[in-house]
Amino acid sequence: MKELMIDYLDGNLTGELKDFVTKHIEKDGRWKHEFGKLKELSTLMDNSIELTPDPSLRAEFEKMLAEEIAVASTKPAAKTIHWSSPKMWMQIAASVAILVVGVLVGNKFNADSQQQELTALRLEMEATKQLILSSLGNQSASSRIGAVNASYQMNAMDDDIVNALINTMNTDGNANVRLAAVDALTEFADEENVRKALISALATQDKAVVQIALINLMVRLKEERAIQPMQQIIQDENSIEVVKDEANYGVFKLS
Amino acid sequence: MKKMKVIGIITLLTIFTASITNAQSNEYKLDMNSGRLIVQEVNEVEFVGHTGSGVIINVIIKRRGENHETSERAKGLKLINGLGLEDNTGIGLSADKKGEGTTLTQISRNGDNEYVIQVPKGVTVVYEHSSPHGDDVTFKNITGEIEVTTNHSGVVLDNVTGPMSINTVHGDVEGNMGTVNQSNPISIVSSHGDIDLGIPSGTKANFRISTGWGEIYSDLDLKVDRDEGSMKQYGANKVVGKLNGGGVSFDVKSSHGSIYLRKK
Amino acid sequence: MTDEQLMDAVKQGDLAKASLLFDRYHKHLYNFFVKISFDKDLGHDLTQNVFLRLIKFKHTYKSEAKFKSWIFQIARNIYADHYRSNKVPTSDFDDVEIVSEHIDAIDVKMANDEKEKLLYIAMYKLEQEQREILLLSKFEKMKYNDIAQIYEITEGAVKVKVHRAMNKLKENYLQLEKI
Repeated sequence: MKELMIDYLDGNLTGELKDFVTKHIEKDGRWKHEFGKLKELSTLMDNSIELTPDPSLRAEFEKMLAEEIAVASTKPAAKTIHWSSPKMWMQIAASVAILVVGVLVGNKFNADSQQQELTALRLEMEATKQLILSSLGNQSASSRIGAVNASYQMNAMDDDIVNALINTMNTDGNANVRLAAVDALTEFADEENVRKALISALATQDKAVVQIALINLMVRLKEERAIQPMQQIIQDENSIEVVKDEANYGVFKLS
Repeated sequence: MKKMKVIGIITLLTIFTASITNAQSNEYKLDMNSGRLIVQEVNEVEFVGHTGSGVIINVIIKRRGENHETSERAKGLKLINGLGLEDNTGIGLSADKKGEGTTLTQISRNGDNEYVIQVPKGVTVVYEHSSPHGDDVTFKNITGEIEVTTNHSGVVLDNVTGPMSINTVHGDVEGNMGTVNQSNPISIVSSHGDIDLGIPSGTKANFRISTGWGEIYSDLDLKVDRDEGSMKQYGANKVVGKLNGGGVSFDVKSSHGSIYLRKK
Repeated sequence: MTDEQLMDAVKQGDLAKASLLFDRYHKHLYNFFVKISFDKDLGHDLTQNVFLRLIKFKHTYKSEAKFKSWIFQIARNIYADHYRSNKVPTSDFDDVEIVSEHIDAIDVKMANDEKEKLLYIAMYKLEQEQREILLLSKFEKMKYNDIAQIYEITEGAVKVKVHRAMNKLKENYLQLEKI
C-alpha cells in the first residue's frame, strides 16, 4: 500500500487501482494520515526554495573558461576538426606521421612485414612525406609517446587515429611506445573494432613487456575471446617462459 | 622475434674467446655529440653524463683464468664473433657507425668487463640487454634522452632528467630523478620488477601510476584526478594525478611488481 | 540548441558554448550540492569543479547521451570523492541542532519556513545515496530512466530506491514533527 500511495502521488496509477487507492485514502484514517504526509513532503519538495549562488561563481567560471580557451588555442589538437580544411588534416596526419616514423625507425630487422604496414599507411605517408623525412633522422621514443598521448587527447577520436594507435601498438620499435598505445586504446576498449584489435595484438606481439600487459588487460576486461590467442602463445615453442606463464594464468582466469 | 634471435647470435656464437691483444688500452673515444648511442648486450655498464664533448668509454678488464699462453697465441689476431663483428675498439666492444647513430656490442665473452661510458649532453643513450647475465645498468647525471630495454637486468637511475622510456621484464628500476625535463614524456614499465623512485619536491608532472597485481606506495603530494567517462578501472590498481600543478607526462607501470614513489 | 548539441560543440573544441551550459545548469548543480551537504561554500566550490571537469573531460562525453544525466553523474562523483576524503562521521547526522544551524547559515528563507526546514533535516538523516536519489527525482524532477543512466542500474531499481527513500523520509519527518 505504501508503494501504491507513492505511485498515486506521482500520478502513475490508472483505472481500478487508482480508484482503490482513492477510496482507501478517503476512508481509512491511518492511510489518510500517511498519504497526507507524503503529499505534504512532495509539495514541500516541489516548492523547495531555489537557492541562488553568489555572483562570484559565474565570474570564476568565466575566468576558468577564458583560461581553458587560451590554453586550447595554443594546441592544434583543440581546434574544431574541419575535414575539408587541409591544415587540420595535416596536423592530424602529422601526429599519425610521428607514429609512422616509429614504425620505420624502430624496426630495422622487420623489413618484410613492414611492406604490408606501409601500403596501409600509404595515404597518410603521401600527404606528409616531407614531415616524415625530416623527422626520420631523429625520432626519439619519448616524443613518439608524446604523439600517442596527444593523439588520444584529440577530441575527434576517429578511425584514422584509432588505426594509427593500433599500428603503433603492433609495430613501433619501442615497447614503451607500444604500451602507451595500448593504454590509449584501453580507453576505447568497449568499441568492438578496438577490442578486436587488442585481442589479435595478443597473438602477434613480440615484445614480452607488451604481451604481459595485454594479457593482464584481457583478464581485467574478462574477455573470453582472448583465450585462443593466449593458447597460441602457450603452444608456441618460441614464446618466452615468462610470457607463457602469464598466458597460462590468463587462460586459467578467463576459463 | 627476429631481433631477439639476432642478439642471441651475438651472445652465443662467439668463436674465438681470445683475450684482447691489439691495443691494450683501457679507453676508447667516439667523436659524437648528437644522435643515438646504442649499447647492446654489454653486461656491466655505467653511463655517466659529462660536460665535455664526445663519448668516452673506459673499461676495467677482469679476466677469468688469465692464461699467458693464450695471449701469446692470439697476438696479431682480432677478437671476432658470429655476426662478423670484431673488436675494433680495443676494449672488447664492436663499434658500428650507422645512419641513426653508433652501436656498441660486447664481443668478448668475458662478461665481467666493467664499462664506464661518459656521454655528452646531446647524445641519446639506448641500452638493450636480453640475457640473464650481467648486472644492473646505471645512468648517472644523464641529461639527454634514455631508452632502455632489458630482460633481467635492473636499472639504476641517479640524477637523471629524462625524457626516458624504460622497459624491463624482470629487472627492478630504482633511483632518483634530477630536475625533470619537461619536453617529452617519461615512461617506466616493468613486468615483474618493482619500481622505486625518488622525485624532487618541485617536480611538475602528470603522473599515471598503475600496477596489475602490486601495490602503489607514495608520499608525493599528488592531486588525484577522476575521469567520469572511464569510471571503469577494470580492476587495475591505478592512480592518475598531478604534481605541483602538472607538467610532463610521467608514466610508471608494473604488471606484477610494486611501485614506490618518494618525495626528495 | 539542445544541451546535447551544445556539449557536442564543446567536445569538438568550441569551448565558448560551455558558457550556455553554465547558464542552464549552474543553479541546478549549486542547489544539488548545497541541499545535500548544507554547506554554501562547498556547494560553490563543487559546482565550479563540475564545470572544470566538463571542459577537461569533454572527450569522454558520448555524443547523444543525455546531457543532464552526464553532468549529474559528474556531480555525484565529485560529491562522492569529497565525502570519501573528508570522512564525515555519521554521528553528526543525529544532531538536529547542528544541521539546523547549517540551514540557518545558508538562506534566511530556507530557515524561516519551519516545515521546509524540517524537510531538510529529515533529508539530512537519510543515507547519502537516498538523499541523492530524492534530490534528483523530487527536486530536480529527473525521470527514473535518466537517473538509471547515472547510477548504471535499471529503471526498476531506481523506482525501488526512490520509494524506500520517500518512506524513510516520511518516517524521519514524522519523528521530527513530534519534537
